[in-house]
Amino acid sequence: MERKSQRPAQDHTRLARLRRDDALSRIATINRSIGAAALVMTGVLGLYLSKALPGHQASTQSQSTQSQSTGSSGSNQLTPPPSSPVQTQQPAPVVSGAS
Amino acid sequence: MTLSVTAPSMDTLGIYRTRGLGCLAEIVLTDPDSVVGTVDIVHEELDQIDRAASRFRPDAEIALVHRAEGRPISVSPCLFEAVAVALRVAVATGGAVDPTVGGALNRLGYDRDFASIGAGIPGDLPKPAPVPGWRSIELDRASRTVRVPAGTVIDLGASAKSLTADRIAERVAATFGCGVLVSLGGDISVAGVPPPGGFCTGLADVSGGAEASETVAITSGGLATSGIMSRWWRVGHHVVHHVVDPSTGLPPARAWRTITVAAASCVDANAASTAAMVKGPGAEEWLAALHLPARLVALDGTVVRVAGWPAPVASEPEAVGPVR
Repeated sequence: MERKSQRPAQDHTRLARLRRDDALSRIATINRSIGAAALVMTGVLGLYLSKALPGHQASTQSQSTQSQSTGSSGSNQLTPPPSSPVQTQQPAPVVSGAS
Repeated sequence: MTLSVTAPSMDTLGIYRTRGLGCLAEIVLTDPDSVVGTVDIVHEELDQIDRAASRFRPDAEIALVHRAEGRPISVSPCLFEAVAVALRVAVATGGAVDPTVGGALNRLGYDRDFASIGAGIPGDLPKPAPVPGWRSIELDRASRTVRVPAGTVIDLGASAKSLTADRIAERVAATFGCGVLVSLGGDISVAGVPPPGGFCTGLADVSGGAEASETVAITSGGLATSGIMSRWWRVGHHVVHHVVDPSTGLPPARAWRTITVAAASCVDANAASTAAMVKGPGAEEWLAALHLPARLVALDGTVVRVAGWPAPVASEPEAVGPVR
């Protein structure tokens, strides 16, 4: 008698576990999809903004191939000299003034 | 052009002088034997930037960009770099130096080579109006295109000259392995190993033949001077000069007669000295905050030094005389 009454209870528990595992599997799939979509959207949005915002540059080249630009540090700040000018009384071959 | 060998101090330097970009170009080398080889590099770079960016040449590449009526135009690496550097300068100066001032300069009468303006032009000052703004320029490095809105005129004068000085200095130093100073209208770039004590540079209100009121030596980077004592003209009864405030499209109020700045490159030095002229009374504080050594000469001749610009040696005058 005891065995007969335990049987439906075990089936019920087993069914509940199967449903739980199935739901967890679906949630994991949804999470992976959301993660992938977020990555793709970030890339697409970044590319769009780099092209759409006026006055900005879009680039598909690596940093090393862009470093040809001469006369500037490449940063968006004005860079002080490695050393300040020093006063001298030596004759100067050139003169800096407004031109 | 002039080729000469001179001994300004204990060292023997080679000097080459010519004209380009509407100003005097001077190249000083620690190896006099490299002067002849330098000539080709100098003219190649000067011609290249003139063909690319001159606002006064109808056949210049920049004219094609202006005529494109807002369409992107594929440009040479030289012009692309010049525009990219101008945009970087605009960002770095908070928009005080803006390449879209070309239209404002045209309205002030500076629409031809400066020598052609003469004593001035008739009429009155245009009404204050902000320039289109550097944000309206679009660059695409992948396709190497530049797009400028229809009606916007780019003036690369401020940054293109200093960029060319940096390019020549770097090429000459790399080619001949000597120290080199390049001065384009007083915008100076130094590369390679300098002579003992550095390259000596006089400072004056106007570059080219003017008597220096102070002399400094630099060993690397750039030095540039902006001022109101050169390249000025009259519009009716008003005296105007070539530095334009992008917020008004007019020359800024006169606060300084010259500002000289030292920086890591000639581009940065020129950007800082031009922006400081635009900022007027706020220039001193702005330069100090950026740690850029600078020498500012007020309208009455008073000299202000900031961010480590050296004090004069005992025999030099502290003031250089008022503006006439």
